[in-house]
Amino acid sequence: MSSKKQLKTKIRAVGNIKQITRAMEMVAATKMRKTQEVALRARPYAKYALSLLRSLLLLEGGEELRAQSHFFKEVNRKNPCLVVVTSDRGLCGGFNSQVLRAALKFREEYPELSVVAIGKKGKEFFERRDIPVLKSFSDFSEVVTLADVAPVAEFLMTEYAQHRHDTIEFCSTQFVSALFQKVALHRVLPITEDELEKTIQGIIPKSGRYSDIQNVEEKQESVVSLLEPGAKNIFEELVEDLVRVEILHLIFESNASEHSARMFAMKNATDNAEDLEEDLQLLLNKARQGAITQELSEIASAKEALIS
Amino acid sequence: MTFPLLVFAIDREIFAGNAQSLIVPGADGELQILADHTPLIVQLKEGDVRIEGENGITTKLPIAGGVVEVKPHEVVALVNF
Repeated sequence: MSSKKQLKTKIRAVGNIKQITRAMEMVAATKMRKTQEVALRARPYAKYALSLLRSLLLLEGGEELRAQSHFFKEVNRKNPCLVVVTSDRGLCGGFNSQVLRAALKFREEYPELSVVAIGKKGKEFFERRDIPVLKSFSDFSEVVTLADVAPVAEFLMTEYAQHRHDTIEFCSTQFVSALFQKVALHRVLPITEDELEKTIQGIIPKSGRYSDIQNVEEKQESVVSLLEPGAKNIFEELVEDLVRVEILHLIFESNASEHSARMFAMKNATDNAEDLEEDLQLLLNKARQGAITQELSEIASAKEALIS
Repeated sequence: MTFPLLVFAIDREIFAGNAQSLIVPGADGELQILADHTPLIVQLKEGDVRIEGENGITTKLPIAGGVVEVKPHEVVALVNF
């Protein structure tokens, strides 16, 4: 019977898909762990830079420094630059569409905003909708590295320094835990200390692996230090570094979320394939049993006909 | 005499442990930091950082910039490439 043959082919196909999705799930899980590690390795630098910045602000004239710096000025958001962080590849569930939906919503509020797209999916999305993209970055490594992200940070810093935009905002996915990620808007420039601290603290997932790493509070020592070549230069350098670190972290986090989203999408696909395989197997058994029953009754009726 | 030294790049830890001496290219000229140095914050320019570890082995590290903070009990160097 042809339906039996068809069923067998289908079962084999579903089995193959199951194997592939299971492999992809494993790969995504490993990559997620790797990205998390990368993000965690970057923490001490950020922590020390932030505490150093704080002690500079505590020094005499610190407030003045902050007031003079264009990184800290207060602005009305008129002409924001929105950086949308998506992935290069698909097959990761709702990961990209969630980010893009949030970005579109933000755009409704500020129709004048410029879009910077990170990741191919975001770029394609805006191009399809004829939304101009100021610049796009893609083809990052699977586990994003500093070298991938540095050009993004440079570009955004220049844009900001030349006053083309009054704020730089990120629309990206935040990694809460392996099971849960959320899309959030985050203002990178101008800086507020709290936002900066949040990002640095936020590198540690709230639960699951790595969540047991404590956020050790550094106590502020107000030691009077010699400054060379002067507070202003050091301050500017530190602030720039911190902005770079912040951008880096936002992209790291999005990267970890991407892999985790893909892991779950693939897990679902594997589970579905398993269910489907079972259903098909049942159908096949029924068809086979049906064929046997039919054959038996044919033989029986043929025998009846011969005897009578 | 050694002092605790931490050297970090943005994406990784480069050195953590006791050091005998740290030579950095300060913005106003090269300087050497030994144990019990006075508290100091220095901006770095491009050049070589030289770390002499506890065992006397010196590591040379070319950098593009950064900041060194000498605290009373430890020295933290943040370097960029």
